[in-house]
Amino acid sequence: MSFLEVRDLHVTVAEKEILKGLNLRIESGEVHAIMGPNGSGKSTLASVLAGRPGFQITGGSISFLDQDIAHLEPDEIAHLGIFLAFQYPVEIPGVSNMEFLKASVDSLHAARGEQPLSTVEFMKAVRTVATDLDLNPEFLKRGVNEGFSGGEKKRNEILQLLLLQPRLAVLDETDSGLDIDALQVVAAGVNRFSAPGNAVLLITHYQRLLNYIVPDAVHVLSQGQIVRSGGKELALELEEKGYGWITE
Amino acid sequence: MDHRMSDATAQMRDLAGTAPSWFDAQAGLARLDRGLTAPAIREYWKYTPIQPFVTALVEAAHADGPAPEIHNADQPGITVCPMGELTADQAVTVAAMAGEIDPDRYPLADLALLNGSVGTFCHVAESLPQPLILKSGSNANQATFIHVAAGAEVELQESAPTGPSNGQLIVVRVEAGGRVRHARCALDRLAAHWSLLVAILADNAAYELNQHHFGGRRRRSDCHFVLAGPGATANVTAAFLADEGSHIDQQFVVEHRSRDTVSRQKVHGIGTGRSRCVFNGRIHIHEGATASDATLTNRNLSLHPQAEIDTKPELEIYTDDVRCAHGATVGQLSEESLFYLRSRGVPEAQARLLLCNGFLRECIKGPFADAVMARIREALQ
Repeated sequence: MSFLEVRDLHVTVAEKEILKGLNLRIESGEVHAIMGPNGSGKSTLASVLAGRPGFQITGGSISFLDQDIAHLEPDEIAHLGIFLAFQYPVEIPGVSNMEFLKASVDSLHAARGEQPLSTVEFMKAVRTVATDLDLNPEFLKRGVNEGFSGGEKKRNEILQLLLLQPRLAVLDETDSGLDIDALQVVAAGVNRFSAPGNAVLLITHYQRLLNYIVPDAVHVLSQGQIVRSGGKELALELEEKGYGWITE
Repeated sequence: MDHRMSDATAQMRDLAGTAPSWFDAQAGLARLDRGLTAPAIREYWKYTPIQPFVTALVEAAHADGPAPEIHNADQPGITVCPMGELTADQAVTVAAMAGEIDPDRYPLADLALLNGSVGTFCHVAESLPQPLILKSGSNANQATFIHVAAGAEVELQESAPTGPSNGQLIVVRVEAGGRVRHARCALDRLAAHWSLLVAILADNAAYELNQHHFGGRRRRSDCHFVLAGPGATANVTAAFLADEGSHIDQQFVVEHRSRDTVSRQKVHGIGTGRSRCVFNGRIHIHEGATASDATLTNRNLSLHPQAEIDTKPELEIYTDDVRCAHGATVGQLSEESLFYLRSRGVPEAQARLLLCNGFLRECIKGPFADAVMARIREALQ
């Protein structure tokens, strides 16, 4: 059984083909990083894995825990255990973080056939994770990401990752816009999530995140295909030489 | 005027004898006739025919329904008097307050005043520790005048009655430095519900209105603020929802008549099912009202192909040196927000409900908030 297997994936957005035969295989317990120049299709891959509407799969397959997820709805994919940390987390005034997180946790527990958490258990779980991530628990009363700084939004994404306990975390440029301190906090959260039964797919422009989250594999995405794969040393090579030597 | 309107005004002539002594009933009837046929009435009542309200309110005035009640009126610092028993001084005050109502814009106000024998006058001489709770009589058409003395603070809680047809005229004058917090909600689907709130604010007086209305068979709500003294402030947050088969028409006017006055209006609404929502927000800055600061935002969600929403913000400015901003939108739920919630496992229907609740909650405050949110959830589910 493969954990995640993407085969010959073709994806079109607004009638333009972005992914052109992408192949990727991730096993349980692994951390993979995808790097690549702007416009190569990194965020499209993240979006498709999470079932974002508007991304049309025109060929190939996506198998997660031996289930075809290519045409599932976003909430169905989340129920199976895929979590997308957004590059630009959405602000939703009027919907409190508390209400949103409780709805998410309850939905996932129901999908897994688990008993719902009581409000007390839920609050305790959130406070524990928030403290670890240096987020003031007062944020629970505010609207989802409302008035959060860029760093707070990214930490809120990691809080959700730890609270919702998915199997696969897809992090779409979570490191963008973070200072070194925030980067370390976020990386510590991801490392805490990373475990033998889980896997992580990091999408990033820069090698610096990989100083804190050590990948098992690094892939270079260019023009909708993975054109080079290697170990963590590939990221260092990219940092030194850029993408040109691979993509030209 | 068609024959039903004539019948209605003829019936009002019968009631003219019961009008309070300070009110010139013949002049009121003349204004009513003129107002109901004036060309401007077509614009003010463009999306909501006025005639059914006239008929319903005349019938309500003739009905022998219970009189309006004001709870917590036994606190020190307040005087409550039936409109038919005003002292000479009180009559002068009420007449001056009534004089602030534009008869051409609000002809139905004269209907309530002609029926003023069931109205009430309150004088708030000092700050009240308990809120005043206004309960209108069922199936009635009545007027309430509230005079808040200088420096006094009062909280008003007003919920609409449940009878088939109701009219409510509420006029509040707040003297210098006075402060009013007014929460009002109308959650029931009445056959015909008309209300007019007029608030006149003297120097540095402040009025905060939280208004939460649902669509009715026919519901029309007018709010008119007059910032008459320097430093007066009006702060309005309102939320409304019209569901299957309902109609709601809300009109807000803020007049900046003096310098250094501030108004804030934030109104969110949802139309779902086959429904009709009308919003008109008008900011009028008079000559000499320098350094006025006014904002108006009306955002609407249309959740059904046959939910019709008509919104019109208006600005009329007759002086320089003002800050003014207004905007109105009609749209759908944000697809990005919807995806964000669903990517966390929240099913689509629940995600939509969360977003709708959140959209309205931005404008829901005050003592009725829980009841309003419960009613919203019921309507959206």
